[in-house]
Amino acid sequence: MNTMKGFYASISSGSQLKGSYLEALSEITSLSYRQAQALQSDLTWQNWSQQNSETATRGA
Amino acid sequence: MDIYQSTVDYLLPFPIFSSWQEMRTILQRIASTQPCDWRLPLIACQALGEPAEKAIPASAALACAQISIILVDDMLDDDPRGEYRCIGSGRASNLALAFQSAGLEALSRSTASSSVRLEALNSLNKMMLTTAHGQELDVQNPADEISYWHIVENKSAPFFGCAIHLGALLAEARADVTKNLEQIGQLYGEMIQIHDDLNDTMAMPANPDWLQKRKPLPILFALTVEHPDRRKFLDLYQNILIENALQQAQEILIRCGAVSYCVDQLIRRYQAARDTLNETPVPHKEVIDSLLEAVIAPVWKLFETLGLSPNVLPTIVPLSDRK
Repeated sequence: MNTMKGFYASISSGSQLKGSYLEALSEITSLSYRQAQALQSDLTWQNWSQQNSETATRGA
Repeated sequence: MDIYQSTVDYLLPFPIFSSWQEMRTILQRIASTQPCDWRLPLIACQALGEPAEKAIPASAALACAQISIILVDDMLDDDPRGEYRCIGSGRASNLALAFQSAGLEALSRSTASSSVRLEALNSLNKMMLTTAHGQELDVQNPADEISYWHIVENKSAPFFGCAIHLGALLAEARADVTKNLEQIGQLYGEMIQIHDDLNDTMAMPANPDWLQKRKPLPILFALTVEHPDRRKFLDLYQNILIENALQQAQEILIRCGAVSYCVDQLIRRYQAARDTLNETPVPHKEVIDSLLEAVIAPVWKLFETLGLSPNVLPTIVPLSDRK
């Protein structure tokens, strides 16, 4: 089992994408740093982990 | 019903809370922050169409378990917010033991039938055992992906699985229903851990995960997969305090597919949880549904930012692939 390597092979090959799902995920790799930071501070991962699981947040 | 006040009101009459002031103080302080997790047993009860009051012993048990876990976890992580910083590790350990037992007492004092109480006690005890093992595994830092998921399954998933399970048990749901709801809770817990890993690695300035050379999922991906920037990433990872190193490392995480992989793993769990919910006879599925929607919302926002539609989601490969 190595799903990371399999995933990387899939999104970097550009040819064997299942429908448009992996293609969509591969588009995330072209996010600019600024976009990622905006998402970070705006509403996504940061807000979630702060507002939710204290266990996961403190346990990580 | 205010589940936080109800939880405090339920626990404070226990003799141990009367005789141990620090336990009272910690309980009331944490209750005032209204941790979302304490609501999970209530959510299970509501989904099953049972009165919220039935969930109070479960929420109280979960609250005590969570406080116990955090008291220990803060020592393991050297967390500056930890109680041990004020009272020392020995006393913090005593409190952790006391809260762990208080959680069991919260269930044993429930008015549920003796068979339900026994099942609930077993569920909580099993969760505490598994979580302790997960914390121990986590201290050793995962060497590879198999180890990473093994830690998540032991450290993060059981708490959330138990939270939902306890609510369903006290709602006196059928065994197949409580089992399915527990699975949904476990998947939910895994999603929260992935969110947390993303947050910690993409935060600025460098999170302790970087400083302590830990391996949350995105970092593990960038260190494992043979992408063009792997060598550079390793160098940045080892020297993260050098000027601009963090930003460069985070840019690689985006570029190499580490963030994409986390999103993929979130979606897989979301879909697995939705599938399980669909085949579970729960009268108010919308209650569990909103829990799942809340945890996947950041992914939809990310898709929206990129001009993508959630309609691209396929029937994806089952999670058993990772075993």
